[in-house]
Amino acid sequence: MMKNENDMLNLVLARLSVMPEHIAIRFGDKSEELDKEQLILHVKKQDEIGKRFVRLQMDYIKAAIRGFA
Amino acid sequence: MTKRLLITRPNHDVILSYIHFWNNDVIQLAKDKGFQVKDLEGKQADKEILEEYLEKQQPVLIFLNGHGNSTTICGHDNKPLVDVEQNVKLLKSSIVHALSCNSSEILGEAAVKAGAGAYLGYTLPFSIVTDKSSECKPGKDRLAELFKEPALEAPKNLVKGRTVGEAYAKAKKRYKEAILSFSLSNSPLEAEYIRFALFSNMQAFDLKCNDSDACAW
Repeated sequence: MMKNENDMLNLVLARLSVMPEHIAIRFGDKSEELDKEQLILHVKKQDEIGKRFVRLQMDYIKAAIRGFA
Repeated sequence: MTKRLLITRPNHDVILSYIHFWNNDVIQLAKDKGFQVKDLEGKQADKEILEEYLEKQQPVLIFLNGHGNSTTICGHDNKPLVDVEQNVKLLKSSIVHALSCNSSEILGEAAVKAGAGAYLGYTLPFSIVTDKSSECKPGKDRLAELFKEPALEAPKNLVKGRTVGEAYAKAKKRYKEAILSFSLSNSPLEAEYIRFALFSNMQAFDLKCNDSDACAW
Protein backbone atom coordinates (compact mmCIF):
# COMPACT_ATOMS: atom_id res chain seq x y z
CA MET A 1 0.00 0.00 0.00
CA MET A 2 1.28 3.45 -0.86
CA LYS A 3 2.15 5.80 1.97
CA ASN A 4 -0.47 8.20 0.67
CA GLU A 5 -3.19 5.55 1.02
CA ASN A 6 -2.05 4.76 4.54
CA ASP A 7 -2.22 8.42 5.40
CA MET A 8 -5.75 8.62 4.04
CA LEU A 9 -6.84 5.59 6.06
CA ASN A 10 -5.32 6.99 9.21
CA LEU A 11 -6.97 10.34 8.66
CA VAL A 12 -10.41 8.74 8.15
CA LEU A 13 -9.94 6.50 11.19
CA ALA A 14 -8.95 9.50 13.29
CA ARG A 15 -12.07 11.33 12.17
CA LEU A 16 -14.23 8.28 12.91
CA SER A 17 -12.77 8.03 16.41
CA VAL A 18 -14.62 11.24 17.34
CA MET A 19 -17.92 10.29 15.68
CA PRO A 20 -20.74 10.56 18.25
CA GLU A 21 -21.90 7.15 19.54
CA HIS A 22 -25.62 7.83 19.13
CA ILE A 23 -25.66 8.37 15.37
CA ALA A 24 -25.51 6.04 12.38
CA ILE A 25 -25.12 6.50 8.66
CA ARG A 26 -27.44 4.62 6.36
CA PHE A 27 -26.49 4.18 2.73
CA GLY A 28 -29.62 3.57 0.70
CA ASP A 29 -28.24 0.51 -1.03
CA LYS A 30 -27.45 -1.29 2.24
CA SER A 31 -30.03 -2.38 4.75
CA GLU A 32 -27.73 -2.13 7.76
CA GLU A 33 -27.05 0.94 9.83
CA LEU A 34 -23.42 1.89 10.12
CA ASP A 35 -22.40 3.34 13.44
CA LYS A 36 -18.95 4.41 14.58
CA GLU A 37 -17.80 0.92 15.55
CA GLN A 38 -19.02 -0.70 12.32
CA LEU A 39 -17.56 2.02 10.12
CA ILE A 40 -14.17 1.65 11.81
CA LEU A 41 -14.30 -2.12 11.18
CA HIS A 42 -15.22 -1.65 7.51
CA VAL A 43 -12.48 0.94 7.00
CA LYS A 44 -9.87 -1.25 8.68
CA LYS A 45 -10.93 -4.29 6.61
CA GLN A 46 -11.02 -2.16 3.45
CA ASP A 47 -14.05 -4.05 2.18
CA GLU A 48 -16.50 -2.51 -0.29
CA ILE A 49 -18.14 -0.28 2.32
CA GLY A 50 -14.79 0.68 3.85
CA LYS A 51 -13.29 1.65 0.51
CA ARG A 52 -16.39 3.61 -0.44
CA PHE A 53 -16.39 5.43 2.89
CA VAL A 54 -12.73 6.43 2.57
CA ARG A 55 -13.25 7.65 -0.99
CA LEU A 56 -16.30 9.73 0.01
CA GLN A 57 -14.48 11.12 3.04
CA MET A 58 -11.54 12.24 0.92
CA ASP A 59 -13.88 13.93 -1.59
CA TYR A 60 -15.61 15.59 1.33
CA ILE A 61 -12.40 16.82 2.96
CA LYS A 62 -11.16 18.29 -0.33
CA ALA A 63 -14.49 20.06 -0.89
CA ALA A 64 -14.56 21.36 2.69
CA ILE A 65 -11.11 22.90 2.17
CA ARG A 66 -12.54 24.73 -0.86
CA GLY A 67 -15.55 25.88 1.19
CA PHE A 68 -17.84 23.58 -0.83
CA ALA A 69 -17.53 26.07 -3.70
CA MET B 1 -55.86 18.20 -19.82
CA THR B 2 -55.29 16.03 -16.76
CA LYS B 3 -51.78 16.19 -15.33
CA ARG B 4 -50.80 12.84 -13.91
CA LEU B 5 -48.11 11.94 -11.39
CA LEU B 6 -47.06 8.38 -10.63
CA ILE B 7 -45.16 7.86 -7.40
CA THR B 8 -43.72 4.62 -6.00
CA ARG B 9 -42.84 4.42 -2.31
CA PRO B 10 -42.15 1.04 -0.80
CA ASN B 11 -41.69 1.09 2.96
CA HIS B 12 -40.38 -2.30 4.03
CA ASP B 13 -37.23 -1.10 5.83
CA VAL B 14 -36.00 1.83 7.88
CA ILE B 15 -34.60 4.16 5.22
CA LEU B 16 -37.59 3.50 2.95
CA SER B 17 -40.00 4.20 5.79
CA TYR B 18 -38.43 7.65 6.16
CA ILE B 19 -38.63 8.35 2.44
CA HIS B 20 -42.18 7.00 2.29
CA PHE B 21 -43.17 9.39 5.07
CA TRP B 22 -41.36 12.39 3.56
CA ASN B 23 -43.22 11.99 0.28
CA ASN B 24 -46.58 12.65 1.90
CA ASP B 25 -45.65 16.32 1.44
CA VAL B 26 -44.93 15.85 -2.27
CA ILE B 27 -48.23 14.05 -2.82
CA GLN B 28 -50.18 16.76 -1.02
CA LEU B 29 -48.42 19.48 -3.01
CA ALA B 30 -49.14 17.66 -6.27
CA LYS B 31 -52.83 17.33 -5.40
CA ASP B 32 -52.95 21.02 -4.49
CA LYS B 33 -51.44 21.81 -7.89
CA GLY B 34 -54.12 19.81 -9.67
CA PHE B 35 -52.27 16.58 -10.38
CA GLN B 36 -54.08 13.27 -10.46
CA VAL B 37 -51.76 11.18 -8.28
CA LYS B 38 -51.29 7.42 -8.62
CA ASP B 39 -49.59 6.38 -5.38
CA LEU B 40 -48.01 2.92 -5.47
CA GLU B 41 -47.09 2.59 -1.82
CA GLY B 42 -45.96 -0.43 0.17
CA LYS B 43 -46.93 -3.69 -1.57
CA GLN B 44 -48.48 -1.69 -4.42
CA ALA B 45 -44.94 -0.81 -5.51
CA ASP B 46 -45.04 -3.80 -7.82
CA LYS B 47 -43.75 -4.21 -11.38
CA GLU B 48 -47.00 -5.56 -12.82
CA ILE B 49 -49.09 -2.80 -11.30
CA LEU B 50 -46.62 -0.16 -12.48
CA GLU B 51 -46.45 -1.55 -16.00
CA GLU B 52 -50.23 -1.85 -16.29
CA TYR B 53 -50.61 1.79 -15.25
CA LEU B 54 -47.86 3.09 -17.54
CA GLU B 55 -49.18 1.18 -20.54
CA LYS B 56 -52.57 2.89 -20.15
CA GLN B 57 -51.62 6.31 -18.82
CA GLN B 58 -48.88 8.74 -19.64
CA PRO B 59 -48.00 10.55 -16.43
CA VAL B 60 -46.06 13.71 -17.06
CA LEU B 61 -44.13 13.08 -13.83
CA ILE B 62 -42.83 9.81 -12.40
CA PHE B 63 -41.25 9.84 -8.93
CA LEU B 64 -39.52 6.56 -8.11
CA ASN B 65 -38.49 5.98 -4.50
CA GLY B 66 -36.84 2.72 -3.54
CA HIS B 67 -33.61 0.82 -3.37
CA GLY B 68 -31.67 0.65 -6.57
CA ASN B 69 -28.45 0.22 -8.41
CA SER B 70 -27.04 1.49 -11.68
CA THR B 71 -29.50 -0.48 -13.80
CA THR B 72 -32.56 -1.12 -11.64
CA ILE B 73 -34.95 0.59 -9.24
CA CYS B 74 -36.80 -1.68 -6.86
CA GLY B 75 -40.22 -1.73 -5.30
CA HIS B 76 -41.71 -3.71 -2.44
CA ASP B 77 -39.34 -6.30 -0.94
CA ASN B 78 -36.60 -5.02 -3.27
CA LYS B 79 -38.14 -6.70 -6.30
CA PRO B 80 -37.19 -4.95 -9.57
CA LEU B 81 -39.67 -2.34 -10.67
CA VAL B 82 -37.88 -0.54 -13.49
CA ASP B 83 -34.93 -2.15 -15.20
CA VAL B 84 -32.72 -1.02 -18.03
CA GLU B 85 -33.04 -4.36 -19.85
CA GLN B 86 -36.76 -4.93 -19.28
CA ASN B 87 -39.07 -1.94 -19.17
CA VAL B 88 -37.15 1.34 -19.26
CA LYS B 89 -39.07 2.31 -22.39
CA LEU B 90 -42.17 2.75 -20.22
CA LEU B 91 -40.57 5.93 -18.88
CA LYS B 92 -40.80 7.53 -22.32
CA SER B 93 -42.37 10.98 -22.45
CA SER B 94 -42.27 11.40 -18.66
CA ILE B 95 -39.99 13.47 -16.49
CA VAL B 96 -38.50 11.08 -13.92
CA HIS B 97 -37.12 11.79 -10.47
CA ALA B 98 -35.52 8.81 -8.72
CA LEU B 99 -34.72 8.95 -5.02
CA SER B 100 -32.73 5.78 -5.27
CA CYS B 101 -29.08 4.82 -5.18
CA ASN B 102 -26.77 4.88 -8.18
CA SER B 103 -29.47 4.80 -10.87
CA SER B 104 -28.66 7.94 -12.81
CA GLU B 105 -25.59 6.84 -14.72
CA ILE B 106 -26.97 3.86 -16.64
CA LEU B 107 -30.74 3.67 -16.03
CA GLY B 108 -31.10 7.45 -16.26
CA GLU B 109 -29.14 7.60 -19.50
CA ALA B 110 -31.20 4.74 -20.95
CA ALA B 111 -34.46 6.41 -19.89
CA VAL B 112 -33.57 9.60 -21.75
CA LYS B 113 -32.49 7.60 -24.80
CA ALA B 114 -35.87 5.83 -24.65
CA GLY B 115 -37.63 9.20 -24.78
CA ALA B 116 -37.99 10.33 -21.18
CA GLY B 117 -38.16 14.13 -20.88
CA ALA B 118 -35.46 14.03 -18.21
CA TYR B 119 -34.08 11.85 -15.47
CA LEU B 120 -33.04 13.36 -12.16
CA GLY B 121 -31.34 10.85 -9.91
CA TYR B 122 -28.23 9.89 -7.99
CA THR B 123 -24.93 8.52 -9.25
CA LEU B 124 -23.90 7.29 -5.78
CA PRO B 125 -25.79 5.81 -2.84
CA PHE B 126 -28.27 8.19 -1.25
CA SER B 127 -27.31 8.44 2.41
CA ILE B 128 -28.78 9.81 5.61
CA VAL B 129 -27.66 10.18 9.20
CA THR B 130 -30.02 8.78 11.81
CA ASP B 131 -30.36 9.04 15.55
CA LYS B 132 -30.13 5.45 16.80
CA SER B 133 -32.57 6.17 19.60
CA SER B 134 -35.25 7.49 17.22
CA GLU B 135 -34.97 5.04 14.34
CA CYS B 136 -38.10 3.54 12.83
CA LYS B 137 -40.00 6.65 13.85
CA PRO B 138 -40.27 8.69 10.65
CA GLY B 139 -40.91 12.32 11.47
CA LYS B 140 -39.45 11.94 14.97
CA ASP B 141 -35.80 11.50 14.03
CA ARG B 142 -34.40 15.05 14.13
CA LEU B 143 -31.25 14.02 12.25
CA ALA B 144 -32.92 12.16 9.40
CA GLU B 145 -35.38 15.03 8.96
CA LEU B 146 -32.45 17.27 7.93
CA PHE B 147 -32.15 15.27 4.71
CA LYS B 148 -35.79 15.61 3.75
CA GLU B 149 -35.98 19.09 2.25
CA PRO B 150 -32.86 18.90 0.07
CA ALA B 151 -33.99 15.49 -1.20
CA LEU B 152 -37.50 16.75 -2.01
CA GLU B 153 -36.45 20.08 -3.50
CA ALA B 154 -36.30 18.77 -7.08
CA PRO B 155 -39.60 16.81 -7.07
CA LYS B 156 -41.42 19.70 -5.38
CA ASN B 157 -40.13 22.14 -7.99
CA LEU B 158 -41.13 19.83 -10.82
CA VAL B 159 -44.66 19.69 -9.38
CA LYS B 160 -44.65 23.50 -9.23
CA GLY B 161 -43.96 23.60 -12.96
CA ARG B 162 -40.31 24.55 -12.90
CA THR B 163 -38.10 23.26 -15.70
CA VAL B 164 -35.88 20.26 -15.06
CA GLY B 165 -32.84 22.53 -15.24
CA GLU B 166 -34.31 24.83 -12.60
CA ALA B 167 -35.37 21.93 -10.36
CA TYR B 168 -31.88 20.46 -10.58
CA ALA B 169 -30.17 23.78 -9.80
CA LYS B 170 -32.51 24.51 -6.88
CA ALA B 171 -31.86 21.07 -5.37
CA LYS B 172 -28.09 21.54 -5.62
CA LYS B 173 -28.44 24.97 -4.01
CA ARG B 174 -30.60 23.56 -1.22
CA TYR B 175 -28.01 20.88 -0.49
CA LYS B 176 -25.25 23.47 -0.37
CA GLU B 177 -27.24 25.76 1.94
CA ALA B 178 -27.91 22.81 4.26
CA ILE B 179 -24.20 21.91 4.31
CA LEU B 180 -23.15 25.47 5.06
CA SER B 181 -25.79 25.84 7.79
CA PHE B 182 -23.97 23.08 9.67
CA SER B 183 -20.64 24.81 9.34
CA LEU B 184 -21.44 27.40 11.99
CA SER B 185 -19.63 27.42 15.31
CA ASN B 186 -22.84 26.56 17.19
CA SER B 187 -23.49 23.45 15.10
CA PRO B 188 -24.44 20.29 17.00
CA LEU B 189 -22.03 17.44 17.75
CA GLU B 190 -23.33 15.46 14.80
CA ALA B 191 -22.71 18.31 12.34
CA GLU B 192 -19.59 16.81 10.77
CA TYR B 193 -21.42 13.65 9.72
CA ILE B 194 -24.56 15.45 8.65
CA ARG B 195 -22.43 17.68 6.41
CA PHE B 196 -20.63 14.65 5.07
CA ALA B 197 -23.81 12.79 4.08
CA LEU B 198 -25.41 15.93 2.64
CA PHE B 199 -22.26 16.55 0.60
CA SER B 200 -22.28 12.98 -0.67
CA ASN B 201 -25.91 13.35 -1.79
CA MET B 202 -25.25 16.76 -3.38
CA GLN B 203 -22.31 15.39 -5.30
CA ALA B 204 -24.31 12.38 -6.47
CA PHE B 205 -27.40 14.30 -7.60
CA ASP B 206 -27.49 14.30 -11.37
CA LEU B 207 -29.58 15.41 -14.33
CA LYS B 208 -29.82 13.55 -17.61
CA CYS B 209 -31.84 15.24 -20.34
CA ASN B 210 -31.84 16.48 -23.90
CA ASP B 211 -33.66 19.68 -23.02
CA SER B 212 -33.15 21.38 -19.66
CA ASP B 213 -36.28 23.50 -20.32
CA ALA B 214 -38.58 20.47 -20.18
CA CYS B 215 -41.28 20.86 -17.55
CA ALA B 216 -44.50 19.27 -16.36
CA TRP B 217 -46.85 22.13 -17.25
